[in-house]
Amino acid sequence: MSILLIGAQVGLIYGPLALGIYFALNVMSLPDLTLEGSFGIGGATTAVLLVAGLDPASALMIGMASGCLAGLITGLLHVYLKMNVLLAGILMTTAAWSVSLAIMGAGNISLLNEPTIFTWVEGFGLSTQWAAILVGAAASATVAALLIWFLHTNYGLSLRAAGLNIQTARCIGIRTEARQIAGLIIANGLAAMSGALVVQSQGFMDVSIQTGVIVVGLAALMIGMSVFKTPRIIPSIAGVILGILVYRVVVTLALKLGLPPYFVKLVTAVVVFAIVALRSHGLGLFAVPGTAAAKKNARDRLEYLENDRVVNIT
Amino acid sequence: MSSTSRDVSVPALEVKDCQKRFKGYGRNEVVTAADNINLIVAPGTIVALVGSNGSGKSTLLSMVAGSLLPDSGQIFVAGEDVTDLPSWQRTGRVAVVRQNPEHNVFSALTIAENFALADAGKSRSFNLKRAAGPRVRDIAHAALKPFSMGLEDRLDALAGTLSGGQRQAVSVAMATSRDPGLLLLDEHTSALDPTRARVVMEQTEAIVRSRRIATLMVTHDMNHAIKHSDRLILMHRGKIAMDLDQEEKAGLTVPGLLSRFEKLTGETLPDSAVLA
Repeated sequence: MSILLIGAQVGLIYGPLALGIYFALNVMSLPDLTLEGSFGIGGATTAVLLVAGLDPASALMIGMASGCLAGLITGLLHVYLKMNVLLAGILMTTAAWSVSLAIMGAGNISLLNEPTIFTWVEGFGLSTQWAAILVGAAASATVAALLIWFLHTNYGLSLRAAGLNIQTARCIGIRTEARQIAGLIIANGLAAMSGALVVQSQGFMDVSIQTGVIVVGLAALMIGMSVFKTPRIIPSIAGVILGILVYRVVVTLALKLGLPPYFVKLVTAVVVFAIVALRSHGLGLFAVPGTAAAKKNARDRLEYLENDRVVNIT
Repeated sequence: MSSTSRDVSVPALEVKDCQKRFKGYGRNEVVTAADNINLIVAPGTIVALVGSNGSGKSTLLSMVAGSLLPDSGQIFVAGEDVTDLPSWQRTGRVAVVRQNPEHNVFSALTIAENFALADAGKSRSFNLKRAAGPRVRDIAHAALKPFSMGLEDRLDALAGTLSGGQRQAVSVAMATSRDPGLLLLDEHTSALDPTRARVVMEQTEAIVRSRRIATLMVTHDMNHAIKHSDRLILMHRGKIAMDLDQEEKAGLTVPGLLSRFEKLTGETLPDSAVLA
């Protein structure tokens, strides 16, 4: 039980990030790594604003806006420099590190004496853990509900269309480049929201919080997409939220079992590998060589290799 | 714009001196896909476009649709210059149905959602109202019913779960429900089995005729091209080699058409075109 609670406590504040990654990768089909940089920029902006005395909610909102700005720049690089999103994202993430430092003016900022959303909720008599769970759940649920609504509107539908097939979408009257930019703005805003929440929850901002954070969302996305294999929005979003919880519980469990903290990233990678393996092979993964299941597995793999395509990002 | 209010004196499509060249793989090799094409299509006419592979049919269609821009020349749709308009701005005037169903409907969206996009795309007003509401569902229902495939009762099914023929039926229904002045059909039934192809083709023709939508239809089926068109255009090496109106093509047979083509160009059409 305590493991589940710790999983929810640490996991749910990463919900917006996971949904942002879902939005960029799954809905828009844009492999945007800027999300990692936006997470840091969102955290840095919030930290600076809190120290300057702004209220936590406004600091969160402006933190989100700073992420949106990073997404806008990636989108413009993609559309106007005809740059691959993956490449633009890598460059933006590199730049974001310096930008975060420039915003903060130092390598880390302590928020120990500043009020945050979490201390505000604790003020109602809740424990630190329950306050974190409540804020994380509220943030994830709000973002999930807004996304579900948005993606079923005409405009949201046009974004999904632009992420499915650009030629078909343009044929139908959708200005796809504008949709891609809008999609990147939304996704990065969500990543920055998680960054801002994480900073408020842990009570300090360090420039290194962004490093490798995209993998957390990726793990949630992979788990979520493996639970419900459907292009429909509601089960997909529910799957991503479930995915972030499963992922955090697994990591907590690994730490409880005595793995040293520096193994967290290895555990993350192994969890994602395991999920992807189960997703692509099912139980055939454990098939005894020579059996029908193993043969079917081999045929599936061969078919995948026969249909593999190169993707040149330059 | 309703079909009755269309001005009959303004051509539905006018292509003026359009040229398109592509760089070949050779060093200075240039392929002329469209060689100063001139074409005027009257409103409500069904024009069949035939020719061997590489004759420029698809290039012409893509230039009208806007996915390719001509190197020189102009394109007018319903009297309006659309030469430099991006494809997404032409959707109120031009609708396209391509050969591959994947390029016409979104498999990951439901039929109703596909219609919602087509409907919003008509006026290009993608607002924050709920898509696929009762109004769109009524449009979809009415547009799908004539195909008698039972699709009108499956509006919440993902388009990806439909067969190729059903998806092409949805594509045609979507394209015509927007009431365009000009419909481009790029071999839209050639990936279907003969029975399905006939059903989709006949229904397409019925809709197009009843709404008087000018249609430019690329096909490899000579028989069909002769029978179901008001005008037949044969393209060869980027040029219009033969242009037959209703009277000129009356009594024309497939062998007759092929021998006229041979006399005109000194070449024979490849087997695939003859056999199709």
